[in-house]
Amino acid sequence: VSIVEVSQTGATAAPETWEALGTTVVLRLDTWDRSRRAAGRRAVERELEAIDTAASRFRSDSELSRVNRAGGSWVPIGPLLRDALALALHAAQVTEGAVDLTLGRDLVELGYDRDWRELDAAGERRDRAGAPTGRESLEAWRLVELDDAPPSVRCPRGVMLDLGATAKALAADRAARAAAGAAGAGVLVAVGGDIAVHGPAPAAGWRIHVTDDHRSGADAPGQTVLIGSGGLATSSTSVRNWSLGNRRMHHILDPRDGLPVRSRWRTASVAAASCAEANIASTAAIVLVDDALRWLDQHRLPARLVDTDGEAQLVGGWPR
Amino acid sequence: VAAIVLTLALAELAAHGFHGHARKLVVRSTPLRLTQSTAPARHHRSETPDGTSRVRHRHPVGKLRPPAQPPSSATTAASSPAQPAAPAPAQPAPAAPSPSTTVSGGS
Repeated sequence: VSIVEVSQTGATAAPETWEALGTTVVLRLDTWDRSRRAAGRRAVERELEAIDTAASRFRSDSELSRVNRAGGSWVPIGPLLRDALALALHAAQVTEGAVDLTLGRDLVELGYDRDWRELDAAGERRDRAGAPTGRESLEAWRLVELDDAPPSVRCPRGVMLDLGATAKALAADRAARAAAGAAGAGVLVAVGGDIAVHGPAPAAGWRIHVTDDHRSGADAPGQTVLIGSGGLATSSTSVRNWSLGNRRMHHILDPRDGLPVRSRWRTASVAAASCAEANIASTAAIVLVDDALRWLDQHRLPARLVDTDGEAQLVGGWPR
Repeated sequence: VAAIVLTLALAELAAHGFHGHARKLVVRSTPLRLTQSTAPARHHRSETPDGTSRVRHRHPVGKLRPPAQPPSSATTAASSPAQPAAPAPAQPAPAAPSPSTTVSGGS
């Protein structure tokens, strides 16, 4: 169902919403023109399908799954997976391993071994005997090798790559850029609450409500802000939760032990020059715990961190 | 002399592809410190002494880029219900949800 509404510029901006990459996609195009809107939507769908084919851990036919099955051998890859891997390695480097692309096996062992929608739809909660044992090797990401001539990758035997967070954010950036080009209008693309904007923004900016769960409505507890460019991402330990035995699990892992991070922050929202960079920083903030505020400030990244008591801390010029 | 020649030949082999990846010389990801300068994503290609091409990733980094403009304030909704009640002046009334608002939350 499409809801026609009036944007801040006075133009119509009917949001389109659908499911992709295991989450919800929202597309806003700042134009009335049906053909341009349709072109924008097609551009977004193409980008999301491409990233799914390249970088999904849950599709056995994806390029990433092929890499994960390669057992330490070099695997030729396409340019999109090459970009996604380069971004994920960039994330590991700039966060000094707080955002780690080699946590795939840990996620599987914790029960997150399929598309989240399938876990959710089945109401399935893993209940295996024994507790997770934690990681066998630290900083395996330093051993991931990426080549450009031609694009190929090799990861250490036994390591499973998971590009979940960064690939999704990369998809949002690429989709927003492609849609803006196709539609000739300002565009906002939200992929599971990670938001990229491109092209001319509405006069006051794109209006975004930050909260714990992207499935919440705009009246959920949180804060509404305006952005004009780049991206805004939110990471939270209060979503994608499941049980393993008696333990409550979530999807943001501590690379040091491969277990769900025990953070003082339940939700981190960050604005950056791109959605990918915002996503890297919001995930890192959860993992860095006490160092998060200093780290964000050092990078001059506007951020809003909410602790487990619900207290919000603002840093880097995030508005009050 | 034969021993010297043999040693040099083995060294040459080892240096130029004895390991089966002579034309795929890749530098492993190396740690970057937060203090390194920001540079655009690019790749550096250099020629090795034996003429093979060495491609090395230089990830754009050191830092993440802040937004061109920081977010600005719109209407602040109610505080989180888990937040302790602050003995402060009355909070602004929650704004009516705007139909043009997009939600950013964990996913």
